[in-house]
Formats: sequence, C-alpha cells, structure tokens
Amino acid sequence: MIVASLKVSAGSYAQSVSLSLRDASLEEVFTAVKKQTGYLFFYDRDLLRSTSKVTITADNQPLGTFLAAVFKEQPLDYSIKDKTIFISPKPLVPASPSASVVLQEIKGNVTGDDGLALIGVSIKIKGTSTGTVTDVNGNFSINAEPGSVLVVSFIGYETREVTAQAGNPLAIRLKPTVSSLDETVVIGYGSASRRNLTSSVSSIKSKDIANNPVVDPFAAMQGRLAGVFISSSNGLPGARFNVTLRGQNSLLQSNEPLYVIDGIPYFNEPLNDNTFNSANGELSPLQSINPSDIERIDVLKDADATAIYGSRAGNGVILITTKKGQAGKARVNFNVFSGASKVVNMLPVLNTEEYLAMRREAFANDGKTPTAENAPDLTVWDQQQGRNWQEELIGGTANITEAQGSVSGGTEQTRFMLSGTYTRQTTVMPNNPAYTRGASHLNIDHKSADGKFNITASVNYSTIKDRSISSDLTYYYDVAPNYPVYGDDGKFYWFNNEQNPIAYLQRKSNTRTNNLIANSVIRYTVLPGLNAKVNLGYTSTNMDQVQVYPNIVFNPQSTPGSMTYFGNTDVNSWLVEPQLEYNRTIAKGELQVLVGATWQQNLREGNRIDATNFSSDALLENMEAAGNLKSTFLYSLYRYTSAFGRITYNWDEKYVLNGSFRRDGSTRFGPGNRFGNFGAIGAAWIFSNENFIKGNNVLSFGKLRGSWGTVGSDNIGTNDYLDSWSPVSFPYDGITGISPSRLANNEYKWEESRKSEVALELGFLHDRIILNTNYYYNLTGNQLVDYTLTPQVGFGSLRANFDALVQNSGWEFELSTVNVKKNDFTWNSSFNLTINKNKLKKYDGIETSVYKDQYVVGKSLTIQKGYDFVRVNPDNGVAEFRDLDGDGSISEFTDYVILGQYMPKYYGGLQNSLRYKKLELDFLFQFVNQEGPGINYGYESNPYGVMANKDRSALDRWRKKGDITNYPRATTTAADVRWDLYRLSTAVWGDASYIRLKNVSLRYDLSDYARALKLSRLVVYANAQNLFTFTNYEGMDPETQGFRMPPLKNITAGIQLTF
Amino acid sequence: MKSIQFLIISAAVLFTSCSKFVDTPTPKTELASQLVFTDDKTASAAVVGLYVDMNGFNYQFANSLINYLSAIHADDLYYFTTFENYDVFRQVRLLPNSNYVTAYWSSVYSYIYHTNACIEGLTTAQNLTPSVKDQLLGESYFMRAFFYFYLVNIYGDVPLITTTDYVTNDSKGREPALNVYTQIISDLREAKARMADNYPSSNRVRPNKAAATALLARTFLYTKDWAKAETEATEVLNNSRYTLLQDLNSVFLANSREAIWQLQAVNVAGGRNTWEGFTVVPFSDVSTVTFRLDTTNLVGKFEPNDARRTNWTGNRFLATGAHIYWPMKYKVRTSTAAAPTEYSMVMRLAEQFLIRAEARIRQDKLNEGRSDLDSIRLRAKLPVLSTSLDKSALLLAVEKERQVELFTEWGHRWFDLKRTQRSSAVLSPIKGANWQATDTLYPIPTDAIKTNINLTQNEGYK
Repeated sequence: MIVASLKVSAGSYAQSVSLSLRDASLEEVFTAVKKQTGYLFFYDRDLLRSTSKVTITADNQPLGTFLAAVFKEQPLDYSIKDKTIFISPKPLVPASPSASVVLQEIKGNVTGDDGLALIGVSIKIKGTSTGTVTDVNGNFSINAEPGSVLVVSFIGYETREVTAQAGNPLAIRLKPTVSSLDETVVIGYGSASRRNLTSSVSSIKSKDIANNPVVDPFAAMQGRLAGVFISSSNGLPGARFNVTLRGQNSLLQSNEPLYVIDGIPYFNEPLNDNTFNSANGELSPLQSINPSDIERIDVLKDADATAIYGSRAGNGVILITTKKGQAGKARVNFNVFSGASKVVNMLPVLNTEEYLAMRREAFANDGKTPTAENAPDLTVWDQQQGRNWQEELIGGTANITEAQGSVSGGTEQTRFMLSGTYTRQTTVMPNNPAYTRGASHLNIDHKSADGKFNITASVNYSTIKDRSISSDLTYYYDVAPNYPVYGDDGKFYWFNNEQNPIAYLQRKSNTRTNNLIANSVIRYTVLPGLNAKVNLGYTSTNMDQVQVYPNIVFNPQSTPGSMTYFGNTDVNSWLVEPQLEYNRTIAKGELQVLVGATWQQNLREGNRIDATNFSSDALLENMEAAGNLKSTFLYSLYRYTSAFGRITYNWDEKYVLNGSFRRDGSTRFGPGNRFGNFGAIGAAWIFSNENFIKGNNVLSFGKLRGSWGTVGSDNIGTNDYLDSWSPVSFPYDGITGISPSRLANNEYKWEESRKSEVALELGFLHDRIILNTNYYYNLTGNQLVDYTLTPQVGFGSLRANFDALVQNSGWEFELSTVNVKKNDFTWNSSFNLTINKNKLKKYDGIETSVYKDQYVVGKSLTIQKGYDFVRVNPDNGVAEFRDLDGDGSISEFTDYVILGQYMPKYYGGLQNSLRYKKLELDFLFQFVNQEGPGINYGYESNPYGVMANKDRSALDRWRKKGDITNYPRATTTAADVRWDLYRLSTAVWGDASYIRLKNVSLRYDLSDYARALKLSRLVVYANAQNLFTFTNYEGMDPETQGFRMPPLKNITAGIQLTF
Repeated sequence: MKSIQFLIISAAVLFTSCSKFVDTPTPKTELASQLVFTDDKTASAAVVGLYVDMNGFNYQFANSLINYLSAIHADDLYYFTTFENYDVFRQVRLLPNSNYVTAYWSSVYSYIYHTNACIEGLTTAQNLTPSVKDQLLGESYFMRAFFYFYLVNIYGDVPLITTTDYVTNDSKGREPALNVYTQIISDLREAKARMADNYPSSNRVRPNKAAATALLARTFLYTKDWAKAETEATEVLNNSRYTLLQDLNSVFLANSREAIWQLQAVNVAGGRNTWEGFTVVPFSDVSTVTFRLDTTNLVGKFEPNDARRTNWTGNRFLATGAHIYWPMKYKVRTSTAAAPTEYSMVMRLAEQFLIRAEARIRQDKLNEGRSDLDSIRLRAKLPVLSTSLDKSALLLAVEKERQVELFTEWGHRWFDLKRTQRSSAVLSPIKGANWQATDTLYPIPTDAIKTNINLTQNEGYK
C-alpha cells in the first residue's frame, strides 16, 4: 500500500524530464534523469542484465510519465520514496485465466476535496505498471479490464483504490494527505520538504487563516504556532499585536521578528511610530496584508533557519507567502461573510448606590465634609441615576463584513491569480466608526516551454480607511456613575480636571493607509543543475492621518482651543537579490548550493503638523484655515547590503547537513562597525530510513536534528550613532534654533544571539501520529541598550553595547494525530505547547549599575518589582507592607520584591478538526499560563473613595474596626491608606492565565446540490473568534490587561461559491 | 566542472559586497555637529535653540515650575484643590522622587549641556564674524551662570559640569556652593566682557551685557558682597535703555522698557501668549480659579492703596463668601491678536533697585538704600518710607517690598527667605509641624542619586 502510494506520487511530481536517447542502456537513462531532476536511483546491478536498450524522446515530460514509458517494456518496476527511485523486478503477472480478457476504455475525472479538478494525478492498474495521468480538466482514460482495481494517487493527497467500470465516467475525489511530512515549507531563499529539514520551522496554511473572521493575519496565528507568543494590544481593528518568538532576547531593544513577504523584508515598526496614535494605539504593520491573500505563513525559529537573514534574524523570521494561481480552467471564486462582535469581557463595577455609599464613607473616614467643590457627585449630581460607562462606551455591537472574489487558472506554463477583497469592521463604541480595507492581489507565473526560464510576479495592493476617535474610551470605565454628561445649558458638562467621555466621541480620527508590495523572481537555468535567479522587490506604504479636536471636546476652563493633528508617513523600499543555485548529486548524496547578495534601501519619511488657531471649527480639517502650524519631520534612510550562502548535503535521505553564512552591512551603525558575519550549521539524521528501522510497523518516521549558529539584531533607530543637532519646535527671535540630538556613540554594534537547538521528530502508524519535540537554548549578548547616565551629564542615556547575557531556553511540543479516519468521518487533532524560560544569565556588576532596581540576575527580563503587601490593618483599614530592609519605613526599591513576570510560563493551543460527510467542524483552544497586573495595579489606580468608580473588590473594603480584609478603607487621599504603595504591590498582581475558545469554524459542503446552478462548489460556513474565555484574571481581559479595549468576540456566517 | 567554476567566480563577485552602499549621508532632518559652528547663522541657531527648549512647553523649569511652584513652596500661592504634585511643595514634604524635584534637576542639567556644547564649539570656531562670536559666546556663558545660579540655590552643593565629556561628567560629585558661585561669577564676567549693550535684534529676548551685569548684581547680593552688588546694580540702573514703567499694566508686555531679559512666547497655539499667563489667568469670570494668592501671607502684606494689588492681582468672591485673589501680572490667557503681546519676564529693572537698596542698607548707606526702596514704592503709588527707620527695620522693609513686588516671579520669595536665613522664622508658623530647617534645600532627586554613587543626599532627606 505504501509502495503503491509512493510509486504513483512520483508520477505527478512536478519534476519533468527532457531527454532524447537512442538505444541507451538503462543506466544511461538513470544518469540523465538524475542530472535533470536530482532523483537518485537505487538498484541491484544484477537486475539490469536482462533489460533491453531504450529509445525514448521526452520533451518536458513529467517524471512519472517518463519513467512509466521507460519501464513499460522492461521486466523491472520502480517505486519512488522521497527523492530516490527504487528499482525492483516486476511482479509476475498472474497468468490470465482466459485469453479472452477484453480491455475497455475506462474514463474518469479526479477532483480534490474542494471539488476542483486535479491535474497530473497518476492512475495505475493495480499490479501492473500500466498507468496514465489526468489532463488539465482532471479527466483520464485508460484501457483496463472492467473490475480491475485502479490506484489513484497524487502528491499531497491520500491514495485511493477504485474499481474500474466501463460506461459512465468515474468521479473520484481525493482527500488531502494526512502526513504533514511531505509538505513543502518555505524557508529563507527557497523551500524544502519538511521531511529533510535540519531547522525549526512552524507553519500555518490558508485554510486555518480563513477560519478566522479577523482583519489582521496575526489574530489568525494566535495559539497555532509553537514558540510564537502573540497578544493583541487592544480590541480595536488595526491595533498592533505583540509578537515574541522564543522569548525576549533583548534588554531594551525591539523584540520584533523580521517579516518577509514573498521574499521582500517588510517593516516591523508601527507606521504611526513617529506621528501620533488614535484609539487603536500603535498600528499593526501587517494590517495592510489581507489574510485571505495569504497562502501560508512559515515561522523560522532556530539559527539554522534564520542565519541566512543574518543581522536581522535575532528575533526570528516570519515568512508570508501569498497565493498563486493553479493551472487548469479558470476558476471563479466568491466568498462573503458577515457577522457581529462584542468585547469578550467587561469589568463589573459599583452601581450608583454602592459608589455613593463608598464616597460618603470615604469622607466620613477622612473627617471631611463633601462640598460642591470637592465632591459634586455627593452634593450636586443626581443621586439616583447612574450610568454603566462600559456599557455606554464599549458595550456596543460591531459588524464585520468581508467579500472576496478571485479568478485563477492558466496552463502548465502560465498561471495567474487575481483577487479582490473588501473588509469592513465597525467598533463597539457608540459612534461606531468603521474600519474598511480594500485589497487586491495579482500573481502571474510563467515558464518557458523548455522549463529553463521562469518568471513570477506578484502585486499586492491594499487601502485602509480607519475612521475612529483619538483615544480608547475604555480608559474612562471608572468615571463616576452619576457624572452628568450635559449641563443645564445642554452643553457638555465639565468639572475641574474630570474628562467628559461622551465629549471624547467628538474627537475624530481618520487614517488612510495605502500599501503596495510588488515583487518578481526571475530564474534561468544556465546549465543543468545551475540556476541563476534574481529577486526584485518594491514596497511603498503611505499613511495619512487626521485627528480633529473641536473646541467643544475640551473643558472650557483649560481648553487649548480647537486643534487638528495632521500626520503623514511614507515608507518606500526596494530590494535586489541576485542568487545562484546549484544542485548536483555526489555519490549517494545530493548537494545544494546557494549564493546570493542583497542590496536593500528603506526610506521612511514623515511629518506631523499640529494646527491650531482655526478661524472656524467648521474648517478643522483644512490646514489653510489654521492660524498656527507646528511641524515635525522624520527622515530615516536605511540601507543594507549583504552576501550570503548556504550549502545543503543530503546523503541518501538519511544524513542531512546544512550550513549557512551571511555577511551584512547596515547603516544603523557607525563607520567601522557596519559589517558583521553570521552563520549556522544544522544536521539531521533521518533514522527511520536506516535499514534497521525501515519497514517498522509502528515507527514510520524518525528524525533527530540539531543546529547551532549566530544571528544578530539591528532593531534600533537608523541614525542613533550620529553626533548631530536637530531643529527645535518653534522659531525664536526670527531664528529657527537647533539643539543637540543626543549623546553620540558611534562605537556600538549589533546584538548577537548564539542559538542552539536539538529536536526529535517522530511519526507513528503511517504518520498518523506525528510528534515533534524541540529544545532550544539561546544566549543573546553584546546587549544594545540605552545605558542610563546620571542626569547631570545632560542626557538621560547613551546607546551602547553592554556585556550582559540573556538566556532563552525552552521546550516546544507539536503533536498531530489522526484520531479517526473513516470514509464518512475523520477526526484530526493538533496540539502545541511551548515552555519558555527567560532569564538574565549574566550581568557583571549589576548591583552597582543603574539596572539594579529593574533586573535580577537569574530572573526573567520581564519581571515586575513592587511592594510586598502583608495585610490591611484590622484596626484602621490601612494597608501594610513588608519592611525588607527593616529601616522602619517602606521605601521605593529597597523594599521591593519581585511581583512576578509578564512573560507567560507556558502557552499553546489545541485544535480539533472533525468531518462527518459534508460537515466539517474545526475548533481551537488557546491556553496561556501567565501572571499580570490586575485592574487596581499601576500609578493611575485610585483608592476606594476618590471620585472614580471601582471594580467590585470595593465591596470587600475595610469598613470598621476588626474587619479582616485585603482591601483598604475608603478615603479621598491615597496616601492615608498607603494606596500609593498598595497599587504597586503583590496585592494587585496575580494570575492572568486563560483558556480561550479562540476559534470555531463550522462548514457544510453543498456542492452536490450546486451542480444545477453550474457551480462546482458551494460551501456555507459559520466562524467564531474568541467565543469563550476561562480565566481568574481580576480585570478586563487577561490578554490585553490594564484599561484597554478587550479583544472582540466575533461570530460570522458566510458562503463560498466556485464556478 | 564548468558549473563549479561559474559558481565560484560568481560567488566571489557577489561576496565582494559594496561597502559604499551603506555609507549614507547625514539625514536631512539633522545637522552633523562639526558643521554647527562653521557659520554665523547656524551658530546663532545653536545658541537660540536653548531658549525654545526652555520655554516651548509648559511646566518647565523656566516657566510654571520656577514661577509658581516656588511661590507655592513659599507663602505666596496655593493650588485650589489637593494635587499631590503641588501639595508636596505647599506642605514642604518634598521627596527625592517627587515629580518636579526630578524635573528641575535633569532639565537644567540638559540646558547646561547645551551651553557647554555651545561654549566648546564657539571657542574653537574659526569662521565666525568676531562680533557674532562674542555675542554668542557671551550668551552661552551667561546662560550657564544663570542655570548654576538656580541649581546652587535650589539644591546647595551641586556637580559642576563645564564640558560635554560624559565620561568624566557621569561620576562627578557635588562641588561646594562657594566654588559654584566662583564659576558663576567667572562666567558672568566672561559674558559681560563679550556682549554688547545692544540686543541682537529689536526684541529683548536674548541676554545682553546688561543682563550679565544684572545677574552679577544679584549674585553678589546672594554672596553678601554688598559693594560689588551695588556697583553692578548701579551700572544697570544708569543704563538709559531701561526705565521703571509707571504704568504697572505695561511692565510685563513684550519688550517692555523695564525688561532686561524676557523669554519670547513661542508656543502660541490657540492664541496663547506666555505660559505664565495661560496657567494662572482664569478662563472666564465664573470659571474656577486654580492658582490663588495666599490671602494672609501675601495679599495681606499689601499696604492700603498699593497699586500692585489692584493692577497685578485679580480677585473675586466665591459663593461660599470667600474672597480669593490670583496673580494678574500677565493679563493674557489667550487672545485673538495676531502676535503675542506679552513675553515671559526673566529679569527686570525693579529687581535692580531692590538689590541696590539692600546692598546699600547692608553697607549702612541707609538713606541711599531707602531712596531706592522709595523708587519702587512710589511707582506703586505708596508713600515714601519714614526716615526714622533703622537698619533692621529697613531690611525688613526690603524683604516685604521684594515680596510684594516680585511675587510669583522666578522663585524670588523662596530664595530671599533662604539667603537671609529667615525661612524658618517666616515659614515655620505657616507650614506648621511639617517645617524643618533643612527644607530650604530640595532633595537631590532619586534618579540622580541612583545613577551616580558620588552624589550625596541633602540633610533632611536621607
């Protein structure tokens, strides 16, 4: 069965042969094939004695077809396993019981799971070498004896056996293969079979992305990838995601991975980094990438996978590959879904009665009398009615709608794909501003008839309109419940420095982002086995922001007057990467060599203009109407050049050795420090291909691999080494002044990570169970930090390398199983778990350094220190803390303990995919074990009793002598109950773990009923995101934490049609 | 084999990466340091940039902090409601990590870095017009002295940083106040020798020779060098460029004849003029008055008919019956005028009269001293002082006159009490149990102590 499946899988392999031989020996044929395809032949020479000479002409013929022709007249058979062709004697065909066997033409059509025609599928008559392949419409015809068994196989699909029947064409549907080992994964400057990889790569594919009704690809990645921790910064569309790959490597620099889209490095800083934020905060760099245009995302994690990206790979590399056309008749696809969203959780707070009682108690405790000046909530405002501000501000229902159309098709030589997507998502805020994105994607792939020349080009263009408001209203969850929105005059009501949240809704924000990514790969086969290739890329991103603050949004007593912020950011980059690839077989091994060079330029320009003194509030979006303009400019030119190479040697599919090297030059460093060398080696032993295991019924795959190497990080500002002066904000006495930009240090270099990894990959029971176990150990040194100087120097810090070592080590487990596999019912599961340990391994002299209060050697970089809460004194309701140094007073730093760490201890996901007949159900649980600050943590936290509403912990506050509680008494002065310490103590820090039903997807395939509508495929589906969350977190949401809009739960329904 | 050769040759070519590609020019938005002091215009920009850093935004040392927080710290001003950042001043319970304690220190030292960078660049500059170079160097020396004057009075002994070399500056300990004063005087003499009587423009917004002379007079007053204080003050008072304006409402106008040095109002969005005016002038007749003058300790000190009370303060009765006052030296909160009409006053002529009055009285020149005091009193529509006042009575008269003349200006009240050792006598009854003799100095900020092991904390904050 296995042999059969593998045999045919070769027949459809994309490898093709062009050959013209006359009276050649089989060995000559083998040599020629090996040269052209890299496939090895494995045989016993004795077998060749009885073979006949071969005369054959093949022009770009698929390998399978070619081999079938070659062996047709030979007494030999062949089978292909991986890239080796095994030759064996042909089984003796049992003598026909009767000579009168009549062969008939059997016709059929082969489609994939999605109902689309499959091209090049191998059809063989079982027990013979007779076979054929399907044409561009998936049709085949073969002469066979009715009743004989046809073996239908195709790479990436499960092999099926069907009984040959004359008459009506057979309709054969193939299911995608279970084994993920034969999947081709995208790696740096190439692709490889997962089976032979020496490095650590995790991937998700378009199907998993499509199950998520989200606007940002990051949201679809959460919980699915081992070693990648992704959390959203808030629940508004366009908001940034925090992405950490195998822990935090850098003390202070960015820990963002490198993003590469279709081979083109993409910026990873938020576009509004240098202008201003709206409610959604820093913008996700990937929001311009339409998730439904993504074919797959591959995450490169270890040194072996990433060293080819050198100085930028220290935090890992995320490769995004967009969709490509498939040959065949043009397919037209439509997909539309629509749904609704609400925030996952709101924080229960006191109602008006409870709130006012707390306030009165606070005044009584303090011995003060409420007056109109210090307590209008008790003396002036309505005492009965109140608002639940969260309900009003973030309690709405958002809508999400997406419509996509695509056309793809082409011939074997030229394929194309064109798609357009429109997405619209509103928010849960009362004025419900919308976020819309239009995205189009075009991909063309052409190769010459002789296969020597190949060009692919793709263009992704998206445009985003993000209409929002200037700030996240969640922050105002604690406004007094009886705060009057409007005064008696019908205008917004203001009291002192209190904000009127409803007035905030008038602070409009409008952001438009256009993004173009164009790239092309041109390849030419110079000599057999030698390809010359060039990657060309261009990206252009432009963002325009307008944020409007009309006068009515300000407290008249402190209004700075109407104002408008205008922001613009342009990022343009180009890339040229010539490369040479060389493949050759040496002895039983296959050698692949890649060398290349990079020239890249990235220019980021922008400005922010603050406009004030408008002649009228009706003209706030017209810069010309402003009496006063203040501008700041941003200019950052980044260039990058490198030479890189990689050598892979694969001996007999058993031993694989991989070495990569990169020499990088970056303008982010001073002259003399611009170039650095990086490299890695990786090795794999596929022991399941050893004779002593081969054929084992239980263990179907086994690989042990390891890698070691160095990579870097240049994630710092572009000109930070320069000794220079910059313009100040305003002209003075007719002169535009300048001021020193920074303390310059042009001596610093990249951070360098030394990464090592060992992994064991096992497949059991015909790869129905696949278990990958990785252990990694990374050390990042030469830490590039803003070394804090004492303020008398004139600047707070100096950027410099620091001799500190950060360790990230951990285990990653990935388990995928096929639990049930029946014709009508299948159930697959996959599970991933990451346990990361992050610690500051070495920091000589930390005790005398400026970091002594921030970091602890041996502990995570993400620790938070604070006071050690002991109790609330039952006599007076005042919080008490441990006096570590015993000096009789509780003081900053000297009485700090470690509250906990922000980085999760472990995290992962469990995905289940079930199919019963035409019904499919996928669901994903994401789990995170972590700690974090509760709702009462932080400098902005108010004690029970000031004019701010509280969470329901306030009900358990100390009220009278003898009360045993952990919640201090109500007061109007924080210091009276030591709330100033309490809010930074262990009392308000705790468990922030959660398990979330991240994604549920239910699909029903109605294709069978759709034929009448001339549809080849019709699917209806419902998807949900963030459906349930199980957590003990004391706050709004454990993922976003703090006073930020929690993530949204989305429920959508959609329909997908294919013509 | 051909393939291999091709591969090796191509690889060699590719690996010879072009290092010129990564030699990028200085970005358009910045100017390389070595170019700053090569021409008059850029060198002027470098010096002038400092004034914008000082006054571009509010709650900086040079605007609301020194003017209003020092007044809250003393007995002139209070904030209408509880606000921890201000309450620590009002209740004299500053902590080493109190917000504004930290801000004073680090911002003033960053200005000092700017002056040091200018002094170093200008000293070695070759291509500047000599008169421009002198003016710029003079301004830089003046500004350095000005900042150290405030540091030494706020914190006592402070690190004396006179270069941009961060390696040595990073570990410098505190220099005795006496040495800091020596540096101030030396810098002011350098400044005075280089600068002209004229201002570089028609504005009075950059220091000139008179500013250096005036600050010298003040410095000598603080160091009790009475004769020199008198001499320097006299030099300013004899300068016809400056007049004591009889119209009190014109004193704080832009380029007023009384101004020796003002900071130009630059961040004028929304029709704002000075940060001082924007901060304390109430929005309307009914809006909350946030910064209020101390009724007993300041307003009560005005003699009957003192024109300063009517012209420089606003007042109103609250619904509760309370009578509240607020500073109105600056009149403009925001205006619709095309350009600001008020600039932030840093040094003005009235102070020179008061300096000389005190210096003369201390030297027992009681009549001349009293006459200087009378100049200020007459302008305020007050009668001249009685000739029967003795020296100690006259010194008290100076103290009182300084308070009502210079209230909410540049920390004068706080510093006057401190330099005359009167802080405890005056403030202890007002501040109550919180008051300690060591409160006359601010604590050294936590940030500074933490990052420099050679810094010691002031008494009372350990």
